[in-house]
Amino acid sequence: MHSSPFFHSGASVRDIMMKLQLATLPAIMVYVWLFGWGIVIQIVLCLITAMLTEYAMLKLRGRPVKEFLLDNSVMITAVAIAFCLPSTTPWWIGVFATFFAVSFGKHLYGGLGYNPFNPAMLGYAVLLISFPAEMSKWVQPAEWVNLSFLQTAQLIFTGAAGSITVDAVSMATPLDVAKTMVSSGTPLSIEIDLHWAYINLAFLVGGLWMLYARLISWHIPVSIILSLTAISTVFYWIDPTQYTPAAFHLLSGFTMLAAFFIATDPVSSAASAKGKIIFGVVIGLIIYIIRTWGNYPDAVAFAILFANMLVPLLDQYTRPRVYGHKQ
Amino acid sequence: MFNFLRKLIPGGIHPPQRKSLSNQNPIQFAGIPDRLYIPLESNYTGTLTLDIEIGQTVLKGQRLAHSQNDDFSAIHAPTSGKIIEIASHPFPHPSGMNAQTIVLETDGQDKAVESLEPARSHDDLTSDEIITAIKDAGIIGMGGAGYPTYLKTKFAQNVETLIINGAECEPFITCDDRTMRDFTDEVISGARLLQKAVNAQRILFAIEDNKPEAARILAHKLENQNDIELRVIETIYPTGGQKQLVQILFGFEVETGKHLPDYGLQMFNIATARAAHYALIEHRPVTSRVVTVTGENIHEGQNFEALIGTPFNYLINQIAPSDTDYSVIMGGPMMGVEMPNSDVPVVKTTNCILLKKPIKKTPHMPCIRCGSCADACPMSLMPQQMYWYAKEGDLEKTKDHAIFDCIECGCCAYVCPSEIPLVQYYRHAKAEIKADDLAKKKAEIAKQRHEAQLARVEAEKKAREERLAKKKAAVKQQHTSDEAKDKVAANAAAAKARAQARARAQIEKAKAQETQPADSNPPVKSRSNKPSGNAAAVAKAKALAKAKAKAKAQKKDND
Repeated sequence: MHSSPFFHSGASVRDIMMKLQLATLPAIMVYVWLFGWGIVIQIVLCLITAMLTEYAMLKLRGRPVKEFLLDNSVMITAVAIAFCLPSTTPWWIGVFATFFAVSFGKHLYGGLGYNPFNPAMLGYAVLLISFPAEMSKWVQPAEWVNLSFLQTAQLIFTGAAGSITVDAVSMATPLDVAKTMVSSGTPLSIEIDLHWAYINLAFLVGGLWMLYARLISWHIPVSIILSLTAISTVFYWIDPTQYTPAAFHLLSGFTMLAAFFIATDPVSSAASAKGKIIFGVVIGLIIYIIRTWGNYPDAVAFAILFANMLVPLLDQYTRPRVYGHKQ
Repeated sequence: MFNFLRKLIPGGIHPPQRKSLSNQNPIQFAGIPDRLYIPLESNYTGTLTLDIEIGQTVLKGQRLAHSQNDDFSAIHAPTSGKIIEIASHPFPHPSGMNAQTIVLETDGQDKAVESLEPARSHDDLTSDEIITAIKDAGIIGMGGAGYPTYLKTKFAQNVETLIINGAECEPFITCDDRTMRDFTDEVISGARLLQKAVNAQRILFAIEDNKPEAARILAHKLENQNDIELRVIETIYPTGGQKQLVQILFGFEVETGKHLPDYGLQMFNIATARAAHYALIEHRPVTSRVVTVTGENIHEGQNFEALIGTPFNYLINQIAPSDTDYSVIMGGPMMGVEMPNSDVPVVKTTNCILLKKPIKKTPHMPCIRCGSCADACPMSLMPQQMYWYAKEGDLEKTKDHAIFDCIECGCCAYVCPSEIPLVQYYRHAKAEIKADDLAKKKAEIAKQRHEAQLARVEAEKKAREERLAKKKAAVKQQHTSDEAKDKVAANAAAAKARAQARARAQIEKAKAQETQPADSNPPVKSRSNKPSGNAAAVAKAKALAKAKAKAKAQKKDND
């Protein structure tokens, strides 16, 4: 005997995760266009690691392997990590981060649905802390150093492609540059790097499609973008020589990736509409605070992990008013 | 200004309607099966007194059983025939259990009881007469809830607006749709009678806009009737829920714990209105109802006028489903109940027999907290949190998350991408909470008895000691001859007597409490405090008496 309802909308976790994956396609294409083939190799590496780790963990935990391995949830973790890696980073960096994310970040907490922290951001944060040098060597745009697929693969797996080394083809990101200028006391004269702007716009396009397809709700991305805009505008207005403008923050680093793809991870974000807005505002503010006064050039990982910690509290205190109840 | 942005209700879903499967043809009389199975139970079970015996011949409309109290309505013979058995038989109920059932072997004559009274007209009837007739005709909420209509009319006097609910928001079901089209006059007449029963100033018909034909016919018939309004509302499941319909029609919420009459409203289903017409105007009790027979794997469904007690099989065979492998659901796909088999009979609340593809039990995925359920919940609950707590067995938390406001409409489970049977978890949690509350109540009564007993024993002991002390004092006093001393002794004796009387009174009180602790429902706190409070009072009385005696003794010494 079964209990009502006997109807189902047909929505499935697997479909949702697959669609999320599709929404990253514009960004992947822009990555390839601007920074070469590295991203593809990194995604493949991270995906293989993620699937193997997922398989091993499911086996160890005695869980049904097929259902969970094919739920596609691990794919989004792997791809998110790959996005955060400089394209020519040594292979073991992405592999390590993905292994850490899937095993420690996800399965040790109970697997799908149980992880309090976003696994991809845990993996990324571990890299930022453990291998800061590797993480800061962002590859130069493809128009300056045109690396073939083979050369990129050689760089990733052996550290050198003939005479080319990772150091030779990498440079600081705009966020790094801004941070260095501010800390050395140089008045800021920074222009928005179009490469990073395109990447952010590509994430924005994917994100808007996810909103349209109702895969995510507007609350978290909108509140991240608005709070980041608000705080950066205020400080830029106070002193434009010391603080970067809002457009710079929105279109540099991983702002849009975080706002649409990472912070919206339902498992580790707040549940109610009000909770989601607070969650997003906290992320927006912390991104700005760490970027401006912290030690790390980009801050999305730490901002999101911090906000993840607030989730139980937010869920407790931001419950919507139930029909027929006073607040 | 932003009205266009405001949704009618929070949440809600748009499942496929599938109504055209069964609403194309007019309602057909299903026929008289060889045997009818009329259960003696309903959702609101009371004690029924049988009016017939086995072997007796009955006529259509003859009363078979009636209720001594108000909580259950009378049942009548749906057709003429012989009572051959009263036995346990499958019964359409979520529990899947059997019920005591009257088995009527039909004779095919369909001979009715001849009414002694002439047909009545609306003007002849008073509110009281209507309410009584509703009770005698065994009318209950025929939308599916089955709450006695008699009670709903009796306790809703001086209503402003009477709502006739024709929303019929569940997919597949079309019995109300067809009833509005095929029995428009009866429905309006019945609505008028119900209006009179509750003294309502006006009537409001509410229909979802997926029933344009019914709306058109009703609008036509209601053209010149100023105090009846027809509102065609947007199709969103579950508009037909009482609380949701009120929110859509009037824009306010029914506060938890309050009822429609508190707002000058009362609501009845289309089928209930039709039944009221027959009961009042034609003296015909509820002996049949319109049942939609439809399903996923069938070519065409049909609405039948089916006698109460008709086995589901009898109706299902008439639509000849090509595929015989199906689950039988009573009601719609969202809130219906799976039947143990298709032998169960049609009861007064059977609005639909739905043949569903066999349901396969697949293990569901974990909750990914996506929040689709919260977006779909028309009560603005947090289904995922409730699920979490229900699963963990944290009943307090589920209560805290207002689980008892859940109307079990199934929207959350419908949208859940992990296909978690959420409603099942809530039903389970609710049942557990109810069982817990009952157990707590019992434990509380036992505790109270025990405490009262302790207090009594203590009080008796103290009183005994006091008596002993007084006796000693009295013996001492007999040895003195001083007049003043005698006077003091008299005072002391009086004080002692008073104290004793007080102590005795306390004992009586404690005893009384001990023997009848199951008083209606005093708050738990005051209950547990009472006995100790008594003990304190006794102790205080004694302390006072002692202090007085001591003061007097001191005075005596000073003298």
